[in-house]
Amino acid sequence: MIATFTLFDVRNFATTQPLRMILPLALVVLFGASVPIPGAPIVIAALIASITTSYYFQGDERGMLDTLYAASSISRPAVVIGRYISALIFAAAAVGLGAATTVVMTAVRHQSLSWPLALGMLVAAFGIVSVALAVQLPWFFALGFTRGRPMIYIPVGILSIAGFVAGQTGFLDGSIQITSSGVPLALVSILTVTFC
Amino acid sequence: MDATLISDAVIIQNLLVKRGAFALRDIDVRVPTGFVTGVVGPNGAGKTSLIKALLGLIAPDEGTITLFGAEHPGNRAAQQRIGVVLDRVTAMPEWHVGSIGRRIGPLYAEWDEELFRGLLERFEIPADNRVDALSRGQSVKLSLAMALAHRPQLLLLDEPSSGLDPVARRDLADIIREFMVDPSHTVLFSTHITSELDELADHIIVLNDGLVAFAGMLDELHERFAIVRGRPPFPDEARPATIGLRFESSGVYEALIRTEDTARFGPDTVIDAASTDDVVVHFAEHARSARHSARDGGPAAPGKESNR
Repeated sequence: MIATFTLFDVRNFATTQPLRMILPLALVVLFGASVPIPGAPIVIAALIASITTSYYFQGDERGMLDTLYAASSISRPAVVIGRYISALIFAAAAVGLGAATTVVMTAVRHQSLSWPLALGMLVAAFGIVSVALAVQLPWFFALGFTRGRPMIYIPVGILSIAGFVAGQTGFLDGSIQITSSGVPLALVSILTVTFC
Repeated sequence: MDATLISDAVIIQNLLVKRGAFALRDIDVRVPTGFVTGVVGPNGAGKTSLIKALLGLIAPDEGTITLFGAEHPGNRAAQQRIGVVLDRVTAMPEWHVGSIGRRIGPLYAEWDEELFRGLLERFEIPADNRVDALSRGQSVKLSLAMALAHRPQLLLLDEPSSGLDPVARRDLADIIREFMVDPSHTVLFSTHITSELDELADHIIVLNDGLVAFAGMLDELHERFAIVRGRPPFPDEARPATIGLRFESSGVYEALIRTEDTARFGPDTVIDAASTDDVVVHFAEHARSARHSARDGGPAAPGKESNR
């Protein structure tokens, strides 16, 4: 039942409004090409994936799919677990694309890729997605998309601010400098994904 | 009819469902198998809340719901036997009608794609149309096709005829009658159009202000209540026997009464059989007066009738 629901959920997300999947993934690539920080697209991909989690619940409301699930053979636990898996699949795809973009852009820019740094970025991405899903999904399951809407931004906002502050205070690796163009681009991208 | 001979598809006992300031309370009703049960009441009476509770979309605060003999919600086997038609199609607006079976079919244990396609053809719903391009009548028919394609035994319909033209309404009634040819099938539908009840329902639940005002066979409703009309002064000793006493602008009073209370009224009154509409209107009036009395500090006791 979990696999059946996950397949339905992923297919629905990918095919019903494909722009909602393509645009966030395109932003991951755009970051890779714009931000000259090796590994940054991986973390950005995780942040974008965290925002797009809400799309599943928005779809449930638009199509009254909660009612469809309630009158189907799928149990509520299968719906909940399947939704977590769907969100993880999209996050994995986004982070995978971020990693691929990192590798490609490093080669294009003739930079050397620090594998420990890339691994650190992947761990950070995993942490961001885990925190976002752990906080957001129970909230959306309880309140639905419309009433739970503020939770789209809260985990990502807190994580972004924490990351920014940590970077500026030298808590993170001092070799990474945030460029002047990076911050506005990040903000524009997050807002675009949020409101599209 | 002997109630003990009828098995019940749904048994609701002491149900309490709180929704903000509104509460569906003391709900104690049965939905007999093989019958069409109509849930009727004014807007805000609790019809949709009752159907949502039956679907497990709202958790009861108290009480139990038994579906085909199994406690509900939580029993998937029982839940699968329900087909649902709500005020909107349970499908994404962007989906094409023809793709719905492929999409949602795997979610049902007994989805019959051939039956679904056949129903689409019969209901003349274009398969290449998007869901959001369908008319209201086509949307209801699509919902019915989706509900019937997994071969349910209980069909739940929430105000299905709302917004339908007379032709579409007649089609809907025909589909329900056809579904009821199988004696193991049951229909529960909510409506505020009382003429539909007279046309379709065998059994009726009158909801008013979150309470069951009457539950029983439709014939019994007509036997149990009457309408009394007369010119003032209204006999005060008869006031406790009235439900929803109204004074018309012409000075004539009108009230719903129980048939056993007809002797309380004198020869200068006219007593007629009550229609379903009369019962709904007067119970609503009674509840409104009770609310006003409660607000003004007076006694408040809306009537309740049940035969089962």
